[in-house]
Amino acid sequence: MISRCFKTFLVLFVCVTLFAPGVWAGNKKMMAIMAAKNDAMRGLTEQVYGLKVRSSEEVKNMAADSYVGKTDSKTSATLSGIKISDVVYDPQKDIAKATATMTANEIVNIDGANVALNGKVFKHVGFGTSSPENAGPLKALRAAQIDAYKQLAQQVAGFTLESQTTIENYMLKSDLIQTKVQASLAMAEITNYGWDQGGDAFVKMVLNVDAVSAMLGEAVVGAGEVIEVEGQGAQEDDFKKPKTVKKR
Amino acid sequence: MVDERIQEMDDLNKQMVKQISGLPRDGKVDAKAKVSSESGKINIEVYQVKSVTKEANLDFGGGNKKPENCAAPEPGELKKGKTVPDVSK
Repeated sequence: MISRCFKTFLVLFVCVTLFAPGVWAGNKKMMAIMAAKNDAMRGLTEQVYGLKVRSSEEVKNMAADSYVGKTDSKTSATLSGIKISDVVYDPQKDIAKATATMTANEIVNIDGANVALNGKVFKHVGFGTSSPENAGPLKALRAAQIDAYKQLAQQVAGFTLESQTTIENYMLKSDLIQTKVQASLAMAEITNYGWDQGGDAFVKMVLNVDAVSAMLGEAVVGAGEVIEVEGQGAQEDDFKKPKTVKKR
Repeated sequence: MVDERIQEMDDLNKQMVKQISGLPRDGKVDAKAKVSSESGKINIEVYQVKSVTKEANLDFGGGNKKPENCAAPEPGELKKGKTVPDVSK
């Protein structure tokens, strides 16, 4: 009898070990899903409440390896009623996907303005992983999203262009071009996103100026416009120079 | 994508420089502009221009150089600490 029970247990153990490797996956799946949920909720907050974008770019003598582009974004809000759905986990890539949804009637946005949302449904898809080696595509996607926000800020608020040019005998000797922008954005919607074959990410974003104007209850510059931008993000830095080790 | 962005920045810079009159032949130009877009059209409003022209060295084949042996002292040159040897003794 004992032998039979032991055999049954052994068979069950082998079956579980062979056919359900996920049982031994530890907390990777949970961590990836949690990261995806947080990413989805952050995206929703940036969309509904808004975010602040500060960006600067600089290029010297038109040389691509001298280009420095930096964009910071910031948001902080307390939102309630966010629902998470469509949670999917890919164990091969260790990447999770989650969708955050929210319905609201009214909100005070990042500029302190009362916005009438009238039951509008907002949705944002987020991604997450537990392993840094698999984070490349997700980082590129976030970079593309921030690039799209920067482009929207440049179009909505305008930006400062600075130039320092030295000329000798009517010929350009040195050149420095800088751009700077700082703005608050809200109600920008992502219409499409993805990756190309090389792994670079794109995010298409739309800002309906009339819709924003109607929600704010006041006129906004650029009435009648639907501003559409496409942000881009790369996984690898082609201009990153290998570190040189000094020999003593 | 970096190359595309650099091209965009260069195009904007060229448009801005076009609005600046009296560019020096030799010198440095610092300019600042506010760039805004309305209905897809880009407006560049230049609000600050600093232009420094480099002065050319006039050279007429060395004619402006003084011969060292027959150079008369400049007024006040001796007062600048130079001493004249006393040969009366």
